[in-house]
Amino acid sequence: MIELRELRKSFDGFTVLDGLNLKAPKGTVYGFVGPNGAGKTTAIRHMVGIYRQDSGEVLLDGKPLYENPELKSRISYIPDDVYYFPQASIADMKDYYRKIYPNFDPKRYKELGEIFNLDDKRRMRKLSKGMKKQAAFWIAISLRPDVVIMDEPVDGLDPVMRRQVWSILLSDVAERGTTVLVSSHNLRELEDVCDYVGIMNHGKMIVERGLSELQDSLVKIQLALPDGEKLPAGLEIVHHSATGRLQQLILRGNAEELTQRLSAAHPLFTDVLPLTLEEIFIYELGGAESEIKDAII
Amino acid sequence: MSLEALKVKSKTPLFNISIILNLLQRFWPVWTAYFVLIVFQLPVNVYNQLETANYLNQSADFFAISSGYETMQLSFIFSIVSVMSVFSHLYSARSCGMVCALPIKRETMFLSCAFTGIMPMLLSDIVVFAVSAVMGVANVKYLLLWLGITVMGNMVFYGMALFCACLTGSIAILPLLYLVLNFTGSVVQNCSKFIFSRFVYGMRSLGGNFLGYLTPIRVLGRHLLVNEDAQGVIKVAGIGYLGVYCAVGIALSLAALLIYKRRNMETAGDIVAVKSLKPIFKYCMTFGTALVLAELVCSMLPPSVFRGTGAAVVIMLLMLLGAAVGWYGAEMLMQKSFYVFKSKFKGLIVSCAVIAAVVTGAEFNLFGFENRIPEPENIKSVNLDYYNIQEPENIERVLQLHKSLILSKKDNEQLKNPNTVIGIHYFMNNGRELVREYSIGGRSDQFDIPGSNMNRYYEIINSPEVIKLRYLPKTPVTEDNISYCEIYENSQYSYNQGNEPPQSLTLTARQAHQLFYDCILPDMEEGLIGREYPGDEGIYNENLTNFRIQIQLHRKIEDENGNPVDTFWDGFFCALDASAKRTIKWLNENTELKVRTLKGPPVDEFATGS
Repeated sequence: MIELRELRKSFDGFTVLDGLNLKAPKGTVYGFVGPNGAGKTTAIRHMVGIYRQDSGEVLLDGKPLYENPELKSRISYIPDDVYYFPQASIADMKDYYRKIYPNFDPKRYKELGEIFNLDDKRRMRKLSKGMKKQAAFWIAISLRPDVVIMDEPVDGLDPVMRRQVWSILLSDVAERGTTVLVSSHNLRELEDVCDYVGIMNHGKMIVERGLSELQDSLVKIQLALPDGEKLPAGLEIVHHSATGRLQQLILRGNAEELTQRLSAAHPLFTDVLPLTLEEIFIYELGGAESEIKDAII
Repeated sequence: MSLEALKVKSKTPLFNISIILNLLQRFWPVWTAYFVLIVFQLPVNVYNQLETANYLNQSADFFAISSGYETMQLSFIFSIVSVMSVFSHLYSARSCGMVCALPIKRETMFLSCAFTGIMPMLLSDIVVFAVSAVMGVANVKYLLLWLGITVMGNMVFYGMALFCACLTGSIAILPLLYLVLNFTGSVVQNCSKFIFSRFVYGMRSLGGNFLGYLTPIRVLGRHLLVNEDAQGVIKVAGIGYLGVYCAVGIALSLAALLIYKRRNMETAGDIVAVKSLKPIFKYCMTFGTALVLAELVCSMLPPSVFRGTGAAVVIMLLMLLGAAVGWYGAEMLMQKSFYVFKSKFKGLIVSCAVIAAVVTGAEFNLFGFENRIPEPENIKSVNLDYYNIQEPENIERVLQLHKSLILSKKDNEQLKNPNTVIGIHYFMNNGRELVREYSIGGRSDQFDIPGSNMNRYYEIINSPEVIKLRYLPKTPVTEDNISYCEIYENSQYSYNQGNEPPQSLTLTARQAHQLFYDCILPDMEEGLIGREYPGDEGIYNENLTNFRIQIQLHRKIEDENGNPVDTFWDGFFCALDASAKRTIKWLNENTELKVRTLKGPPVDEFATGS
C-alpha cells in the first residue's frame, strides 16, 4: 500500500502540498485526479523518491520510501515527459534498467516486444512521442513491479494501444496484486479502470474513496414539485438549477434515502440519474471550478 | 547504533556498476581526449624538448617533471568537463527525475558518478606513466614524481569541480561557477587593491595577500618550480602547496557528497541549488559587481583623473551602482525573470551602507592605514624599491622618509602627473610585512632641499650601502675571474656626435682589476659612482658622463671531485658618474678617452665634486 501522511512541500515559499493524505490499497487501480496545479505531479515525485518532503511521510507497505532502494526497486514510474539518454536505443535502456532493477524479467520483455511491435535497436530520440511512451511501458512493465506509478501515462498513445496497455496492467493487478496509481485528466478512461479515486486541490486531498462508493455518495435528481411545495429541509445540496418547474439537484447522500425524503414534498416527477466521474470531479471541487463551467454553458 | 542498523548501513554499496558503465559508454570521448593530450604532454613533449631548442642542455628528467604543471592545466580544464558529463543528470528536471527515481541511494549515485569522472583521468595518468617508463622517456623516479604531481593536480581541480556541480542546478552556470571559485580570490584582491589605491594614500595597486592563495592554478604556477643544476641534480619546490591544495580538493569532494545527499532535486535548472546558499550568492554578486564595475571604469580612465577625495566619491558612487546591478542581477538569475524590482531590497541597502562605510572610513583614514608606521625595533629589514636595507641607520632614514611622505599627503594627492614611485616594504621581526607605495613628483631641484621627500629618497638610494647592493657583483673581482672589461661610450651621447664611431676601450684583466680596486670601489664607498637620479632628466644629464663600464666575471663550478662542470657568469655594469673622481682621473691619465657629462662639457678630475 502506498500512503502519504500529512505531506507538505513548498518551493521558494510557495506551498504546493499542504498536508496531503493519500492511501492507495494494494492490488487496486488508484485514480489520482485534480485540476492543473493541484500538486499531483509533485506528490507523485515524492511517491517515487525524487523529492524529499518538507514534512510528513511517504510510505510503501508502512516503510519510509525516501532513500530506500529496496522499496524503490519495487516501483515502476512512468512520468508525463519520458526521459531517455539521447543516444540510447530501447535495448540500451532495457539493459540499463535490467542491471539496476533486480526483478527485471527478460522473458516478459521478449513477450511484450511482440505486443508493442517496436524495433528495440532504434534510437529513442528517433521515436515519436507515442512510441516513446510505448517503450516506457514496455520497459516499466518488464521490471515486474509491485507498484506502477504513472503521470498522464496514455497521453500520446492511440486508442488501440491504450486498451492494450490497460489490459496488461489490469491483468497484472488481477494476477500479481500490482498496485497502479495513475494521474490523469482523462476521467472517462479512469472511470473504466479505477477502483479508488483521490481528488486533490490546492495541495490537499478533497475526497478519497472507492469509485462505486464515490458514485453512491453523490446523486443527481431531476424533479418537478407542485405549486406551493418546497424542498424538504436538511438536504445537502451540492448544486441546484431549475428550468421552469423542472429542478435538477446534485445531492450528497444515498439515492434511495434521498428519494424517500423528497417524496415528502409530493413531487410530480422524480428521476435519479447516475453521475459520471467527471461530474463528481466538478461538483466535488465546487466553488470556482463549477462557476466557470456554468459560465461556459 | 543497533546491530541491525549497522547491517543495513553496510548493505549500501559504494558504487553502482551499471551507472559507471553507462557513463563510460556515453562520455568516453572526454577521457579519450584527456589521454591523447597527456600523451602529448609527457612522452611526446619530452622528446620534442630534447630534440629542439634545448639550449640549456636540460635533461629528460627535468622536462618530464616540468610537464607536470602543464598536465595540471589540462586537469583544470578536463576536471570540469568530466564533472559536467557525469553529473549532467542534475541539470534538467526530466533527467534528474529519471535518475533519482532509480533504486539507488544518493551516496551510491554520487560516488559512482564521481568515481567515473576521475577514474579514467587517473588511469590515463598511470598508463602514460607506465608507457613512458617502459620507453625510457626519463628516469622512473622522476616519472613517478610527474605521476604524483599530475594525480594531485587531478584531485585539486576535480574536487573543486565536484563542489561546484553540487551547488548549482544549471549546466551553463557550472563552468562559470568553477571559474569564479578558482579565480575569485585573485580578482577580488586585484580589483580591491586597484580601486582603493586610487584614494587610500600609500596603498599599493598591485601585489599579493592571502586572497591570492584562493587561486590554486596561479599559486602552483608560481611555486611549483623545477630546477636542474649544473650537476644534473633536479630540485622540485612547491610540492607542499600542491599537497595542501590536494587536501582541500578532497575536502571539497566530501563537502560535495554531503550537499548531494541533502540537495533538493527540484532545483534542477536553478542557478543556486542549495537554499541556504542563495543569500550568500546574492551578497557575493552584490559586492563582486560593485568591485568589478568600479575597477572597469577606473581602469578606462588615466590615474590623474582619480586621485584623493574626489576619487573616493566617484568610486563610492560606482560601487553603489555596481552593488545595485549585482543585487538585482542575482535576483534575476535566481527568479529567472527580469521583473524583480519589487522584491525585497533591505539587503541591498545594508550592502550599500557597508560599501559607503568602508570607502568613507578608508578615505578619512578611520582604519589608521595611512598613518601606520612600524616601530624601528620591530623592523628586521626594509625594501626601498628593490633594495633590501638592513643597516639600522638606513632603516631610520627610510622611516623618516616614510613619515615625510605621510605628512605631504595633500600635496602628493593633488599632483596631476607624478613621475616617481617610491615603494617601501617592511619585514618585521614577527614575520609580518607592511607594504606602502607613494607616487610623488620628483623634481631635480628638490634634491638639494633638506628634509624634502626627494632629498630623503635621493640620499637613501645613493648611500654607499644601497649603491653596493645595486652594483657590487657576487663573484669576487680577481684577475682570474675577469673575462672581459670594456669602457665604452653611450652612442646616444657620443662625444663626436656621429662624426666618428663612439669611443671604446678594452682593458686587460690586470688593468680592470686595478681600475676596480683603486678607483671604482673607493668611489663606490664614498657614494660617488653608481648613483641614481630619479625624477626629471635635468639632473641626470648633469651628473652622468657619456661612458659606461662593464667588467664581465666568470666563476667555475666544480663537482665534488673538483672537476669543472659549469661556469657561473656575473659582472659589474655601471654608467660613469661625473662625481666618480678616482675613476675619471684614472681614465684621463691612462687612456685617450674624452669624458664629458651628458649635458656637454668635458669632465676633469678637479671639476668633479664629491
